[in-house]
Amino acid sequence: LSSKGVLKSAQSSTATVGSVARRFHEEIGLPKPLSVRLSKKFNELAKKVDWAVSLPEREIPSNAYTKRAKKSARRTSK
Amino acid sequence: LASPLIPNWCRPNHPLHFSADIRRLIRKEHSPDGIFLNIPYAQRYTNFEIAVLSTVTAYGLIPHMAKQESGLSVRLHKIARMMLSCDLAFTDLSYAKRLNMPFELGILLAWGKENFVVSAARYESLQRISDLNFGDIHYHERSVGKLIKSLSLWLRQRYPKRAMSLNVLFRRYRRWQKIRRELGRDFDQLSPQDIDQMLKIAEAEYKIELPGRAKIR
Repeated sequence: LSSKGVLKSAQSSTATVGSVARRFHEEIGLPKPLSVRLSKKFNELAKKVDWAVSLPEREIPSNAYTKRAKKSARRTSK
Repeated sequence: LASPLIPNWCRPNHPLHFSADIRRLIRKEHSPDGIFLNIPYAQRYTNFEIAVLSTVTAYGLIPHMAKQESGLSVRLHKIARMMLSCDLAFTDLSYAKRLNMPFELGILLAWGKENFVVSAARYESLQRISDLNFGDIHYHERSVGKLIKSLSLWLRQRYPKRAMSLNVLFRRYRRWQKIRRELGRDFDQLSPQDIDQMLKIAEAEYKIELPGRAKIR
């Protein structure tokens, strides 16, 4: 994690359209033309989107008190 | 691993008669992590379909849907086989005019499958099928967020060790949608299991990050 809580970029992919298409075809049994098409689209998508850059996962608070409710509760108690 | 209940009392000319070979096949295909999705196949349901698929796969479940079967065998027979190979089921009764969902829900209940039943509007389904007063029906009020939330709560009760936050599930849903938009028609033509496998390969090969699931498999 960087200082701003943003995930650092993951390793860049070494996958090729051909190798991924082969996996789609051999492991899932998709027809070859469809496998190639899907692999190309994923390749484009991988270039377009930086998947690694996203906010860190925040857990849902286990109780009903949100930050705002806690703040207001503190204010009232004063 | 408990073996699934396979009806063997139907006569050979009955639509739900299973030969010894088919019964063997069902036993082989059976998975406790299998979930049968009894949902409408409609363009306007696509967002909900993605929400259900992204959530159940995040919990490590294997989704089965009637649309994935394209063989020449009788449709009901294929659907029944799929139901028997799963322990869980998800039913959405939002589309009141379509009778397939309530019909299949009846079969699932008769075979003792654990069902998560949802509908769009409160009491809408109960007005039509008052027999459904047996228990919990969840209402998503046509909100994908509400659907993910209630489905996740149900799954969390069954798989506490696989529990994950709603934020993770919402992010996962948004990424599935992004991928679906990019892949277009090719995505819609794939069976849920193919999509799941394809995304696993894409995650590994292109470093595409899909939240959830990582801690299960």
